[in-house]
Amino acid sequence: MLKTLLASTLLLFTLQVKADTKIPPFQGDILDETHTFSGSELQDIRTKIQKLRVERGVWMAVYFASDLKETTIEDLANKTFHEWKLGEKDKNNGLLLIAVPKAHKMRLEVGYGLEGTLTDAWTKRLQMQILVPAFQVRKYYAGLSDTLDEIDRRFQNPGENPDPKRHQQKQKLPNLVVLIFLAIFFGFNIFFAILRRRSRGYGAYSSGDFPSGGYSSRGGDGGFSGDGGGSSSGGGDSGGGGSSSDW
Amino acid sequence: MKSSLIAVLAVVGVLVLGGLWYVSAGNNLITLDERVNSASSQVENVYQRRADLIPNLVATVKGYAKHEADVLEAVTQARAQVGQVKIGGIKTAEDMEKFDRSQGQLSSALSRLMVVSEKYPELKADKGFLELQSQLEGTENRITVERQRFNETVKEFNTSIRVFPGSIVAGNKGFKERPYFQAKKGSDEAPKVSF
Repeated sequence: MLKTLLASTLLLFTLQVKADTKIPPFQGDILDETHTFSGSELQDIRTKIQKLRVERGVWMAVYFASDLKETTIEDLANKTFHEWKLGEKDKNNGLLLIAVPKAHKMRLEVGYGLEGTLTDAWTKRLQMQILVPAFQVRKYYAGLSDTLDEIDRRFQNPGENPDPKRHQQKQKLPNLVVLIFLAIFFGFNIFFAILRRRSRGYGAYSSGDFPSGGYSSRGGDGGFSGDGGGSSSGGGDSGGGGSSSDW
Repeated sequence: MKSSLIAVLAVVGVLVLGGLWYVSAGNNLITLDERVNSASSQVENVYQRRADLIPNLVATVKGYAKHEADVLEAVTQARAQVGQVKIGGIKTAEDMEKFDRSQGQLSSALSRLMVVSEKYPELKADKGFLELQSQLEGTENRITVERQRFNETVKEFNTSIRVFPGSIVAGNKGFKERPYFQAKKGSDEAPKVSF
């Protein structure tokens, strides 16, 4: 008798703990509880996620969680997906990358509607070849950025497999190109700014001088506005597709 | 005269309201019942998905681990058993027992196969095997998710047929409690497959 009572209280307690998994409210493209990314990195990630949404119809969110909230990564991912309602309701085209650096665990949870393209096997390959190696050396931004590129590529060409080489090569050459480009760009800007200051005689760097690129302040929640309401995106759901890895 | 008319009207009004409530409560139960049915077929779908992976998996393992005939045989047999259990919706506790027992046998046979496969480095390096492994892992996770959702819908249904006054409607219409999936030790966690 006492035993049953004890067992049932214990069960109740464990159920309580499980039910207590608090999912933070949906905050748009990326939620960085661990403060892993810098401001400009976050902007880049948001831009890529928004591009995926507009061009590929993939409603993705990234969640770097501070801890596992006393559950498994699979459970946490599914609950978060469910809570945030990622993807459009009739398409279930949501995608969630969740990483818990403290526990060295990650999971890519795929909405029902994307399971055909982002198969379990593909998501596992993506993790083993791109994400895990990058996260192991704490290159979180590079790993995430390359992952977003790979997902984009996968939708462009569904036969495409993740390839880490592609990203290594890419890094060396464009760096120089980007530097030169930046030098020219800023050189021109400063040059013209000085010219203008001379002719107009006031503040060189007024807001009009720099062309505003894609990173405007409203970038944060581009596609998530409208229906849905504050704490969730579309109304999509996932049935536990995808895969998890340790790093 | 006037007061008796009011009384009659009041009685009629109450009866009409009661009737309306009865009908809407009945409809609500039907909706919930259907939701349980659809959750049940979702569960069966994901289990079927797992069963579909097995022939390929057995064939791949056989290629590297010929000496493990027992384990392979157990998996093949358990899968055949699962195929025979056609219940078309988990309605009674008996259905649940039958379904859960056959699927549980397959689960344990599969986990033994996965343990055995650890002994064969060449198998573990096989691309096809890795692929199947991640698919199996994903499917086991889907099973966990759909079982949870099934239980959630059953909970909602069972509550509404047991709580008064819904219980009256349920009793008249012959709605019975639906069984839950029991959480087994370790079954609420997707199996860990290390690479």
